[in-house]
Amino acid sequence: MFAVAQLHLRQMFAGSRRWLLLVCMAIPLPILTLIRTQGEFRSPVEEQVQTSVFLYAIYALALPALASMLYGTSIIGAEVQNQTLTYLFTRPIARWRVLMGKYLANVGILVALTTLSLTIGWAIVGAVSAQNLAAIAVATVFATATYNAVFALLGSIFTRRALIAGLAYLGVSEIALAWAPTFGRNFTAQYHMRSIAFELSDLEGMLRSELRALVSEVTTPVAVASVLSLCAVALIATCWITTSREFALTDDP
Amino acid sequence: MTPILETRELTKLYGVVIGVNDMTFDIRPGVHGLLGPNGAGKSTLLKLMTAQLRPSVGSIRVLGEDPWSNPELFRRIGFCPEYDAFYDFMTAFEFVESLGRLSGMSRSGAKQAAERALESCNATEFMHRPIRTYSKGMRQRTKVAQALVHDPELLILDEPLTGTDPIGRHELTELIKRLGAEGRSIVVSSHVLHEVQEMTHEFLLIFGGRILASGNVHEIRSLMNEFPHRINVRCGPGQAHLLASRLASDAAVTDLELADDGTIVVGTRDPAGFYARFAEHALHAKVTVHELSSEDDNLEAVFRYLTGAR
Repeated sequence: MFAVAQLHLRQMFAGSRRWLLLVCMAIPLPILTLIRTQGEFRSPVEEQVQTSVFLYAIYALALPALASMLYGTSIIGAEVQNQTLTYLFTRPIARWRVLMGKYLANVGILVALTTLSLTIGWAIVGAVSAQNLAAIAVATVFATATYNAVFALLGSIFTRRALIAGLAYLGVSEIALAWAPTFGRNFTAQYHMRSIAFELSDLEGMLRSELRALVSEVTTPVAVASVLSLCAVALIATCWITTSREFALTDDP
Repeated sequence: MTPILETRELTKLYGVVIGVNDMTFDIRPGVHGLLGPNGAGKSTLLKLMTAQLRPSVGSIRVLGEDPWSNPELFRRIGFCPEYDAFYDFMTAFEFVESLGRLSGMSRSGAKQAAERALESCNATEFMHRPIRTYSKGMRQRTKVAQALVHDPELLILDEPLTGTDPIGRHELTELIKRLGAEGRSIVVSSHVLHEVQEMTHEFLLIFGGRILASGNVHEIRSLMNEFPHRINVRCGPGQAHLLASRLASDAAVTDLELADDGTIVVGTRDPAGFYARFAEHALHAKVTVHELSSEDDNLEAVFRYLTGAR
């Protein structure tokens, strides 16, 4: 599995993909610089809340979702499109191990780079407490692990249209459903990650009631269990599909 | 001795299209050519052998084992796919070494094995250059090297000579012959008879998803001889009728036709006998022969005969 992870890391940093990844991680920094220099806050509390929410939105919401969509769907999808999957699946290594090796490499490198960018962003905005930074970082780890699992699943189902399926999932589930005050949001990763980040932060009592209602109606253990369950179910389903499915790399017969 | 490949009523359907149709045969260890025109079912059979596809009906066993969901079997199998796919950003050495590591080798073991495999494929000269800069022949050799890196007992090569230049083809042919002589079993697919004929004399003819014939080259040639051959003879201006009247008396000739462009089209059931006596006929008729050709020497003709016979 380690050899698969190494191979996958090399793929992630090959050619234009490397620059895409670095651009993804660097984009928040000028935005945060702008907030720091141009932002007008009525009080230190408002500054603390708003910059924390900004950091959360960027690092635990947008960045993990987008980076995971780009790289999670490619775990199987890119190998099918490039016709290189044959090399991996005709080796003495179980298909689910190939998948897990690539998944762990994806999560590891994305978490490392996102955390690095988050730390730099935190240093730029300044107003966010260390506790809030840690809360956002934890949510980022959960988000990256879960989104990668979900997008790997989509990639293994919609091998050649994985990105379209990923965009559809983000739009329908993680944006529309997760922010709608309905029971359906319990089935999204985003809703539970918001709860985890809020519960771990020191923002209790600082948020306005309507925002408070959006972020947390479930307890932290339930939110953690829900996110882990979604991640585990997606991974198990991906392993099962990868193991049992024939992958057509050419237009047979 | 365990067959390297056993199929029983093996059938593979792609929806309503049949890729492989009710195949039952065994292949003993050795070098075997899998021959058939494009779309005959060769690649489907090789994908079934390498667990990329699962049989719709029937069974397949490779080296005595079912290949589906059996990764351990791939310690004993090396597969060179038909399509031109690589991790282009790597060098051949990195590519082969990476796949060696996926075969369970240590880092140093994989490096040594990659070097050995690339050397045996005459690829050392370019192995540290990025694959994206390679010619087709270099890429083919790299693909064969990755199949060899873990020293498998069975090598499955899907159209390995496609796109190679004459020198590359000769080198790959020699390599495959050498690997076979070392005792490795090889199944090599091609749609060109003479390509495979240089590597082995054991063939499996496949057409329309079915096995048409199997055996050595002589058996297949004799199959060909059961059917009339067409041989085209082109000689000097105004000489065709002289030669034609001479050829008409040959016992091997079944029919003759004089085409508008002066070419004589000869039908025979004994091409070997005809060719043996042809020079004598031309000498006696005192004609200059510009061209002697037969479309029936190619694989397509064999298939045409065999399928026509069914």
